[in-house]
Amino acid sequence: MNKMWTVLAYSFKERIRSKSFKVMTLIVIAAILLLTQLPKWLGGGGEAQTQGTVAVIDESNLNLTAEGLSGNVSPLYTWQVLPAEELDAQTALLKDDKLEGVVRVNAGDGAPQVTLVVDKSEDASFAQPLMSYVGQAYTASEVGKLNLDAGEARQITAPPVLDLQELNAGGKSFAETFMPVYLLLFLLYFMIYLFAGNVATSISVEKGSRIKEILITKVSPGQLLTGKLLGVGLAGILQFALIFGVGAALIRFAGGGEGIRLGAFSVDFSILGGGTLAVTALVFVLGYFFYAALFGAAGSLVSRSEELNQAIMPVSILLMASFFAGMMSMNDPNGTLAVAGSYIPFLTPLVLIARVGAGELAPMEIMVPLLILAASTVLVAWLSSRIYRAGVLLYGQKPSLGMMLRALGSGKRGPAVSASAGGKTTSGM
Amino acid sequence: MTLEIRNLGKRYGDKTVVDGVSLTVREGQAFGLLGGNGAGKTTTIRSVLGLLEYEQGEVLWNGKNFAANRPSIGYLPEERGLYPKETVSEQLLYLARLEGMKKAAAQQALKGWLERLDIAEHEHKRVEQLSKGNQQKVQIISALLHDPELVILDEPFSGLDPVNSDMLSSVVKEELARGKAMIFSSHQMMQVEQFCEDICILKKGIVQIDGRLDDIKRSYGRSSLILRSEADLAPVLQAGGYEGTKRGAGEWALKIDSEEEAFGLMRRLAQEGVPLLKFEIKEPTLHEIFIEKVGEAV
Repeated sequence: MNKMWTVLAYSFKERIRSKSFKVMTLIVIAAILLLTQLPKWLGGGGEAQTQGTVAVIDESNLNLTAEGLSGNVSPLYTWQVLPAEELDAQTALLKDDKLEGVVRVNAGDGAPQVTLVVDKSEDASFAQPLMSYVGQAYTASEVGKLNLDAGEARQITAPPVLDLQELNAGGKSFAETFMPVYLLLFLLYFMIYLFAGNVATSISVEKGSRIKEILITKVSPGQLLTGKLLGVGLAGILQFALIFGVGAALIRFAGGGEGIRLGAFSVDFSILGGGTLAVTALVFVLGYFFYAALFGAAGSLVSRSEELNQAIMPVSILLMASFFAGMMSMNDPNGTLAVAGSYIPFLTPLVLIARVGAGELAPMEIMVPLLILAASTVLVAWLSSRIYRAGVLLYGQKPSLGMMLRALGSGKRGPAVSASAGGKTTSGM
Repeated sequence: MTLEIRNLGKRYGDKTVVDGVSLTVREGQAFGLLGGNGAGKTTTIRSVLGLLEYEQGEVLWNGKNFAANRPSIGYLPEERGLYPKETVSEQLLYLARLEGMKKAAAQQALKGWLERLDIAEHEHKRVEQLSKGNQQKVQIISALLHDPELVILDEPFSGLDPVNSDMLSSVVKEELARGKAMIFSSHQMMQVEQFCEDICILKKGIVQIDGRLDDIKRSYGRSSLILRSEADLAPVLQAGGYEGTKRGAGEWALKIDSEEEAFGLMRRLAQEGVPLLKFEIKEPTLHEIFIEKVGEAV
């Protein structure tokens, strides 16, 4: 057991002293800092952003005002109400991209006629509210001509009352959760790949440099593999804690990036909440051990570390599949893929994060996949140690899936190494 | 402290690579495990270490099951292995800690060894920065640092220049004097003759010859007889049925089967009045025995 701790301590130390560990920790923390704090530094305090100016040429007698338009159509635009002579000048400005749109309101025969000139139809998102506002103004003006008393006029012009009742109040919207969950998925994928991949690298270096032959006269392969998985895993947990600790502290004390948008999506990490982060931590630990055991088995089959990429390819593809399944599950957290995927161990880590982040899950829907993942991790680690044992003296063969299976078979009889701590004996004694 | 291998057999599929090998290594003694390439030396060593499972025979340490009573082992494998990117001291301390040494004791022992092998200035360099000879010294330290009971050295002299070879020779002799049991595998017969009292020569996994080196040489039979004379010995030798080779400067060398035969020849030369300046019976060298035992089928 002592030897396992020595291996653990050595692997941990080797990992946290590595450049990639330091660089990645700093880069991710800097990225979180930028994403959450940048709008504050730039905006200087939450002033509503304007999406542009719309010129309104009012040739009707509806008395349209900038305040009225801003209040009733959209506060996101700056409205300018201008006289008819300005039409050509404003149209020229629109062509020069200085305006978002030119609206011309004519009295027309009876109902007013609205002409809306924009660069492209997607710039006319305000057309609907504009029309209803002009319609209301026209109604109000026509009602005014009927000489009704104030009560009657109000009754005619009163808008219908909308009472919006949310059945799933407080639920998550796709637009709100997309970016935070996407970034979380990506970070998790990257960290599992980095740390589990590091186990493979470290094993292949030991094998390629042939020091493994010396090591296993001192430590049993089981202890060596366990110590390495735990040591590298501990370094991963430390990095996870650093990244999420700093992230959580930033969100708590400096705000969660409300208002920042990437494309059409907001990046407000505060909506993830403690529950999601707790599940993320668990999934990271289990996902790491599951994949590290697989990567480790692949790494122990190579003769030289140059062959590593080829050997770990099947495992990398599994992890990548998990990432894509996770992305697809975000769109539809309760779809077939998401639900089924969360119970398939090699997909569980990232699919479950997507479901927890983007949907509402019952505790059992989280617990059961995690338990299945934990059980599979134990199984995979056991298989992996068999392959690792068999791979110790396996040189000069192309690493492949078939070889992995053969190693698994021979691992049952595998080199009966026990080191001085073990009690296993070689058969035939 | 005695290592015993009894009737060891190892197969890969249908191919038998070690067949019925038995040997005994005693305290303070180096055992020479010899053989050509692919003779089964490394397989035998790996089987002892438990790196390979074997189908037949047993390995004992002090008369008990080796795996269950594993001594501390210093192993210098044929294929050298160190962490290329780690510093000399870091990896040697790690390997010593894996043998259960305390940190302070390991550091002290390491200091002594680095000075003993004259590489103290490389302590904090990465192994890949060292010359091949210095890497070899680091590898040797990795095998001896934890003061093991059983030392297994596979080609320990490869890559060392004559000065460093002498340095290692004295280290090996010191370790033997301190009572280590040692298996010594090498193709350099000079070194084997220097250290090993007992040897065994393997060929295709089968022991060709084994026992005490002196006994092997004596019982080997075919020795060389060196004669020097101012007279021409060729006619006398031809008359006696010998094919003497002239070695120059009045010296002849010939093969004889026994010492008696040599003495008989000397008497005959004396009766015929041939004056002899030199008469020397030379034991066969291990090199010659090896070539004959291993080389005949090559």
